[in-house]
Amino acid sequence: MKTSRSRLISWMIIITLMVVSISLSVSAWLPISRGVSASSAGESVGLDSRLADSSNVVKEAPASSGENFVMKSSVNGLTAEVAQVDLNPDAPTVSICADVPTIADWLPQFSATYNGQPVGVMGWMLLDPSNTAYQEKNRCYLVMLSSEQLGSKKISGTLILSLDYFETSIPERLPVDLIAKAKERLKDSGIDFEVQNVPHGQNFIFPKKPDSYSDEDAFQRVTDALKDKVYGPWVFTIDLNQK
Amino acid sequence: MKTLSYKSKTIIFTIITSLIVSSVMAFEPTNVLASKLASHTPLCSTTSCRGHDVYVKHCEGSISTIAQASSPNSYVTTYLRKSNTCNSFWSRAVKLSSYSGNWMLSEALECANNNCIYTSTTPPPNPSAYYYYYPWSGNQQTPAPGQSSLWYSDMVAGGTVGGVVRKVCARGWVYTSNVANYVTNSLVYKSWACNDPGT
Repeated sequence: MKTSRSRLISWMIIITLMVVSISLSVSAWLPISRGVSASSAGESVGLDSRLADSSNVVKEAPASSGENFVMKSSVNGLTAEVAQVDLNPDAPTVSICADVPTIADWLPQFSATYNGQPVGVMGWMLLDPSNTAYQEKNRCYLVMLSSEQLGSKKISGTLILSLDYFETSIPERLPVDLIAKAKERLKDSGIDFEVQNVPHGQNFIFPKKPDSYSDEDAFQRVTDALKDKVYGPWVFTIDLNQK
Repeated sequence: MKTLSYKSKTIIFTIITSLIVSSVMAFEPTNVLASKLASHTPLCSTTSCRGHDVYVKHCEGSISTIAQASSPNSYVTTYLRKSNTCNSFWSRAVKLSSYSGNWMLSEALECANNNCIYTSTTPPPNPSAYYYYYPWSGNQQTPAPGQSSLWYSDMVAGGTVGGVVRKVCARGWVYTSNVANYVTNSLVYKSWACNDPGT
């Protein structure tokens, strides 16, 4: 009798300890899991903010070539800031520092208009003199605008620059877990894909896709499914009139 | 004092071991554990990476995109990519899926003190005046890449030389050709992305 009771107590202690340790493990994982699922679903994290009124557009500030000024925009806790506008006619640029969603390889995607007309965004460059940006949650970018619209005549009016969203980069060789994630996201689309390793690249093969889809359509859907996206937009209105 | 039986000792040992293992796991997310298990030791650094594939040299552990650029109409988007573990760069080109060109090229270049270094022996498209002014390295060219191809070049060196930071550029091409290594159509689209705005 006494032995049975001791055994029972021992087992209860073991079970209690196991439950406590499992709870510890799960609770420690949860914040990370939540962080991943929020963006891995490929949904618009900032869609509600996009519908917000003028909270994205911070006050206009006069700009001239090389003049420093600051404008900030915050969406869903991520802040972006215009640090400098350089209206060099050959290579107009805007410097922006922005919070990125996580410590990952996020690629900012920009668009711009000048006096209501679309302006080409030629690309961007990470401003990273200390080579530590990949470890930081706030990164600075030099955004290069097309000189066709901004460089050929006297600049005046309004430049609206938008950091539309962030997307994660796609690895050169897709890891199996990312392929599995994309397949899961595409399960209702009727698209299935395989990747084929070739020297310095990968080819995509589509064993299954809807009849109405071309290979281009399917490829576009797959590349979208491979990326996480976090939407803003972070919008800046820049007064270019010389004062 | 009563001595613990062997069975009790076993139970206590099991409990302590479980607690230690679960505590370690609690503070080490699965993806980190997995990446630690899967990661390889880099096999090159800066200059010794020149001309090598990032995956062959196990430099894929920590990759950053340093710059991104698109050609007119976004027919080709080029990314300057960096391995933080190997301190090396390479180019990645992505063709717009709707562009019908059947050739593409992904190149990387490193320069310091007006001295540009390249290691590739792959011939460039011809003619290309720009090529002859700037020696590019890591050429990768493929026929008929298809709509769904993403290509990357071999690596060039990052870091500094004589205290001067190497300027590095990536360039991507898409074009139409009926003859290997020759551009037979004037519609050539290229974009380049660099780690220095003045490059």
